[in-house]
Amino acid sequence: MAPKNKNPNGENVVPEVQQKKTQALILKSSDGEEFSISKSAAGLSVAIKNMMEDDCAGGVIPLPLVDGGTLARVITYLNKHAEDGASDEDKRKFDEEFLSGMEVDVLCDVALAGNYLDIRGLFHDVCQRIVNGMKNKSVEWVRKTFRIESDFTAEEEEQIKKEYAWAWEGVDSDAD
Amino acid sequence: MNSEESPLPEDLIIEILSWLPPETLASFRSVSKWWCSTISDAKFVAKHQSHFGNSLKNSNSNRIVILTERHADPRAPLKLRLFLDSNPGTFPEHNMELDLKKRGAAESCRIMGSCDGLFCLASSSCDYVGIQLCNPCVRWATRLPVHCFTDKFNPVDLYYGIGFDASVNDYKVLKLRRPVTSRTHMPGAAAMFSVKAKSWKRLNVSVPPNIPLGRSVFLHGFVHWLTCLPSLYNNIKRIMLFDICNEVFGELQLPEIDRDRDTNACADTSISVVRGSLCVLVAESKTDISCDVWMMKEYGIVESWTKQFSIVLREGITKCVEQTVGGEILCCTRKGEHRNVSRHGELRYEPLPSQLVLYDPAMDEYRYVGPAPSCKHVISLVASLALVNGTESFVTSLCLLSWFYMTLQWMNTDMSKQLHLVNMSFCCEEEKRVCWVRDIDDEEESSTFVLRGGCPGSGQRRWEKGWSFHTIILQLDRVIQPDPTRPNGSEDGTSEAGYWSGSGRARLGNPSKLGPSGALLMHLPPPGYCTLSIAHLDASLCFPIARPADLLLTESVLELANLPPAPFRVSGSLEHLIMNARIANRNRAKKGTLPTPGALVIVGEDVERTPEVRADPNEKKVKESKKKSKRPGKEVTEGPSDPKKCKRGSKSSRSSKSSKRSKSMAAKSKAVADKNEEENFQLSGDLNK
Repeated sequence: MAPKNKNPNGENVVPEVQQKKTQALILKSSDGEEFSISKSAAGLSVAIKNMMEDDCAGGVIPLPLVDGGTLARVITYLNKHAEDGASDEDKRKFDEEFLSGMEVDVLCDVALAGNYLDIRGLFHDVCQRIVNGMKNKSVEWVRKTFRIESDFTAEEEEQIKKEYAWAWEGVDSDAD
Repeated sequence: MNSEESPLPEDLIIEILSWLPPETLASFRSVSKWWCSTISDAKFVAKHQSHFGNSLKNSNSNRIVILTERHADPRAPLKLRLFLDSNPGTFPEHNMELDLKKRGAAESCRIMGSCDGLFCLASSSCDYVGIQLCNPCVRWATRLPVHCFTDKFNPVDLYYGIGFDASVNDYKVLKLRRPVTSRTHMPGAAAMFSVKAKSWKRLNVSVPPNIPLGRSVFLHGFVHWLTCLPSLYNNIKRIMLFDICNEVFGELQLPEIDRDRDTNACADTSISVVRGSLCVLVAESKTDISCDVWMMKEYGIVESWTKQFSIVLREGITKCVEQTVGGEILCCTRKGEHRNVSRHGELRYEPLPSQLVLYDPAMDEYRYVGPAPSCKHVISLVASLALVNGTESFVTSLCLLSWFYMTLQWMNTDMSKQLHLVNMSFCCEEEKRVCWVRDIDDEEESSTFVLRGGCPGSGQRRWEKGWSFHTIILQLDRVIQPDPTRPNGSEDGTSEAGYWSGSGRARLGNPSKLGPSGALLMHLPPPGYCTLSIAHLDASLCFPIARPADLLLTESVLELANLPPAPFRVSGSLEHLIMNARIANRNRAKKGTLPTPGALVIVGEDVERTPEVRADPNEKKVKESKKKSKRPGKEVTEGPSDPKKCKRGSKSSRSSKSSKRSKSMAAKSKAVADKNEEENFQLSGDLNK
């Protein structure tokens, strides 16, 4: 199943990656954008690390499943976590800010990229973020967010709702 | 699910869902069919257990279930309140009703064990009372098929456990009967219900004579009970184990609990599983309650018992219930404690009911949970999706076990108010298989009973062509005194090899309501308007049927039995019974012999008459015969006054009126049964329905 290939915000995020590091690597997103990243940062991704070891060391690594906007975010994350002087506390703070601004759509894209590039820390954090956002949410919210059409008949849905009546108590009234 | 539109592929959605709490997932089942089937999937449940379940081990999250006390109406379903610990330390309350309608059963039901968010509710003294299995977090509860160790209603000491057999990924419910006690004289017995197989199995193990003190907990493949040894009235406590996979018992030593304390003080000991470790709480109550909590740091290593803390609880707390899964101590405040309420500058005192509070030993804080009912009905559970998928398959399987329905109708409605049938069971002749009719649902103010029967034991057992009933056992609750104004039957002597023989060892009703002679009158009005009278019985009777062939199930009925949602109904089977009783009566009359003591015979049998009319002509005779009787209550008999008339009446009615009646009865029984069925499905998540 292929993820969608558009930047959800429609903006073109320019990564703050300097080319000055000698051991740099070019990552190519699905929409053709190229990002350079230090090898140490890229090594945090198990998938990229494997690719580097395999063949294309020094060359361009195409990432056909990640779009430019998402890749830019992932690279921001990787750079922070590869930073030499950053303490765990710094990283934690950064993660918090990094993720707090994201909509669920963006989070999903990042989660997908994190999964694809095998960056466990990022993937886990993003998933937890989505999970926390889903607690106490209504079924309608879930359908809207994950773009799911109910394939239940009205009777079937009513039946399930009846059985789990209390599960509807205390859901956030704001569907968004 | 439309995968092109969704921002996440299915495997990532599954990943995310596996971190959500069960109550959220329960509601998300209605997002779409894919979500519903995913959440119910056994693999997902296992994944959820490892993700969400393990994340709970590091938190103080408590889920506390309270079964509220019963209403005055004994038929009202039990209410269950669920308190979920939420972040700001409050306990939002959720209510659900537990389907415990059977009268007489609920009073004796207790929470008997827990495992993975499941708990079971069962009776410690009644063999035939159904066991309820419940996962409150996903709002699932069901009755297990009834299991009985014997077909006799003897008093028993029962206890239970739930466990998860990881080798076969199956939840199992254990039912144990303690060996010989002062009350019972039966050997120990053990049976295990497998949720996957949906059936009971007798276990070939010898049950230790330990006396269980409280409910069981499950950890690392073992069910644990805190027990004390039965010998010499000493107070030696042990943890008894049952290996759910290998089906053997074991023992675990408790820590060296301080013995130099005041020996007069009574120490309450309980075990629980706190964040994956076995804990023992010793609560000693003098003026205030002092608590010691021990934890077995490394499971199975007795030396690793470590005293976690020792505290004295706040004044006003009168009882320690247990240590919760989050490590806090659940306790009750004194009933009627007064609280100062300042209003307009004056102090007022208001009485308070007993309350549940949680004591957090780490923070030294008390948190209010809610009003406290009987403490035996409070349990703290972990959150789990266990058996979220159980509903569908389980309920269907009950039907697949060839349940059948039978309708019994009280013809004189005043009787129905005074008596109710608790149990009716049939024994089958072939291979001594037993078919029990256990679940009895009666409508209020109605004279109709719908009995549900089926074969217990192995799920493979089904009715087979040619099986016949062999023995019927009836059990009555709330027995009444023989009404002197009614015909009590006449005694015509002794001995016709036990057509109706009583075995009234167990009694559910109030003994004081028994007649002075110990006799009771039971009117069993089968379709023939017959009234049966029983002597020398407390509450149960059993009688073999003269010709088993009379009660053969027909082939068409057997076919229906295999259709899950269509339980077939046998109306008027008792008619055959009565017919046989009539034959016996007639034989007795011809031979001039007398029924055996404790026998059951037909009184005032006439299909044509209404009950009121029926009673009159016999009355005189009955009184006469009673005078003759020098052993009152031993045996009461009244043969048909005129066998010819009776025969004529039987024939005509069976061809015309009886068939009409049976039709209307069948319709009525269908309505009742349908209602019953609906109620059974109410709590379940049977999506097919």
